[in-house]
Amino acid sequence: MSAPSHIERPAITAHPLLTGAAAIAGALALAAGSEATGIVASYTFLHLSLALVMGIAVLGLNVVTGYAGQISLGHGAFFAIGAYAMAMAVGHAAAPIWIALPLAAIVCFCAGFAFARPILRLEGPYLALATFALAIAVPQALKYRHLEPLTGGATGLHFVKPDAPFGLPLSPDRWLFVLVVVVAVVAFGLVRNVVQSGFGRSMMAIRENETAARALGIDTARVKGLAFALSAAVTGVAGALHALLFEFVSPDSYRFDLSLAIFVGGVVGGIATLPGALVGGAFVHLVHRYADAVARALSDTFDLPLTLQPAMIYGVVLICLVYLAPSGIYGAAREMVRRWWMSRPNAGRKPAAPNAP
Amino acid sequence: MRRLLDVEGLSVSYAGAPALHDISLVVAEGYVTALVGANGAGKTTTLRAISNIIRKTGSVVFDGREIGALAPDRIARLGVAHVPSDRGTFRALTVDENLRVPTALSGNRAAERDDRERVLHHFPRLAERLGQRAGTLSGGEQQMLAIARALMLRPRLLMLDEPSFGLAPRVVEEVFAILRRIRDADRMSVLLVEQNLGLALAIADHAVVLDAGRVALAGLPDEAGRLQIVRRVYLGA
Ligand SMILES: Nc1ncnc2c1ncn2[C@@H]1O[C@H](COP(=O)(O)OP(=O)(O)OP(=O)(O)O)[C@@H](O)[C@H]1O
Ligand SMILES: [Mg+2]
Repeated sequence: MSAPSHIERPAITAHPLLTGAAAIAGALALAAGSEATGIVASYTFLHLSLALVMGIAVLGLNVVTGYAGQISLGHGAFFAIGAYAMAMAVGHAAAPIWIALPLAAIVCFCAGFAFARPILRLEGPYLALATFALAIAVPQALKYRHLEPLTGGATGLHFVKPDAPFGLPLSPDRWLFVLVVVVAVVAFGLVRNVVQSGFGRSMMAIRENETAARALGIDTARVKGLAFALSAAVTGVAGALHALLFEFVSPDSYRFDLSLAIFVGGVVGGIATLPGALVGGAFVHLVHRYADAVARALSDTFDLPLTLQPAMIYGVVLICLVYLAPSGIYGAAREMVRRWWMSRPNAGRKPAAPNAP
Repeated sequence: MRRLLDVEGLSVSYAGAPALHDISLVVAEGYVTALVGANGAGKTTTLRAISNIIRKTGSVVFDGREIGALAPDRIARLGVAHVPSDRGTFRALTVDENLRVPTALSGNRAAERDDRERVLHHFPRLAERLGQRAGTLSGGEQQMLAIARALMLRPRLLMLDEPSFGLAPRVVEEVFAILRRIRDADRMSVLLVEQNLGLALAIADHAVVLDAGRVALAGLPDEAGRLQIVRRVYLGA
């Protein structure tokens, strides 16, 4: 009697495990195939990896901002901490990646938890400000003179990324792309399970009405703290992968505008949706990569009286998106698919009365 | 009579302005206590103080244990369910998800299913709408959801803040019929805040009248008491 009545939706409901396995197999096939034939250039894989890394970073932010409803303008800090954890583990301790990556996650989880406790008492603009302060403080802290032997100070830290494992005959960019896909699949699977669990439900209850959640017995401080820690860990892993792709970290790679980019990615992709994080990450990377070229091309083509700045292009695109897709690109796309689905000729007919299992 | 809730010497001030002066009240186990009074008398404030959402002085003893210093979520888990007058609907979540927030962190799915079954038995209108987003429910349905959700805590004391607020008379009747059924079926102890005096006294075994932050009257809601209450609180005599 009490089976939830499902609303008809056109979701492409592939099994998540299958989707993940298919993504990894596809990535491996693409990497191996192009290694042999050269149809996809090695540096293209670098860009695919970078877009995906931003997607993972946005996914992390999405946990705390999209699902638990706590704004963070400081997730670049955890991205940086994860990157440094990777660089230091590989560079100083010659740790293998399968140790360095979980290590980065754990370090960021702890950093996130420690940071969350005091600041998540704050609300709205005050919380945003406190997290933003973190984004500003961490790069400065990384330059701290007495830590220079560890962090490399202002000049940063070089290390050499390990070769492909199992003697795979893949170029570094290609095998790292496969690694990034594997990590992304794990991260998305993990976050998906968390948001669909009872813990996820308590996060969303806090987002919707914190006082009511507390009145129903939810320890809101603990849930917010763990959500922030998990969120920091996922974004930190993205940072670790980023460091691996460049074999280099420096404080100036992770300035506060990185935090803003992650936040923009979350909003543009679609807050509180998982595929939206991928879209948002790709968006941020594409803008980062092409705004410059587009600005130059437009200035040249139309012989404009002013030099277009990349930031202007960025701004215009953002404003358009906020108007055209207020629930994010993924949300807008889903809505379009839903409309199309409902407008099929036989949309009204139901195959059979839905029975409770 | 067993005292399930024993409030003594409770005082609250909002930014220096006193709202409750040294009030005391008792909820007997298995009975409905109505807390009535005019607008601004301090009824909502009393419930908030018991739930420890606001700062207060005085003592709150629940089931023989001082709970005045405990965090609101602790108090809820001990079995004090507070249904606020704004209902606190988790609007983007479905009805089903709303109901499963109190059990979200318990990890016992079987018990959760049983509790939901038991609670929905009283709320057929919600049982039909489990997959609907709670924000799209009517006002009456949201009130029912708020009560049903509170029952998912397996409370020993149910505190309701104006369940009739903003509802059409017919819906109010429906909600109160459900409340009566819950009281009779589960011998639930209830602290009921209500503006509508007739409604409150019809269901209550005991009434406490607040007037400008003080207990003006407490006793059985018999006919004489009812008249006295009406005169004093609503006519200002
Ligand atoms: N957050 C607040 N800040 C300042 N004063 C408040 C606050 N909340 C309530 N008050 C004041 O405390 C007094 C008691 O308010 P309370 O909400 O408890 O009354 P009530 O009996 O529930 O009234 P109503 O029947 O209108 O809901 C009122 O004078 C009110 O103005
Ligand atoms: Mg009130």
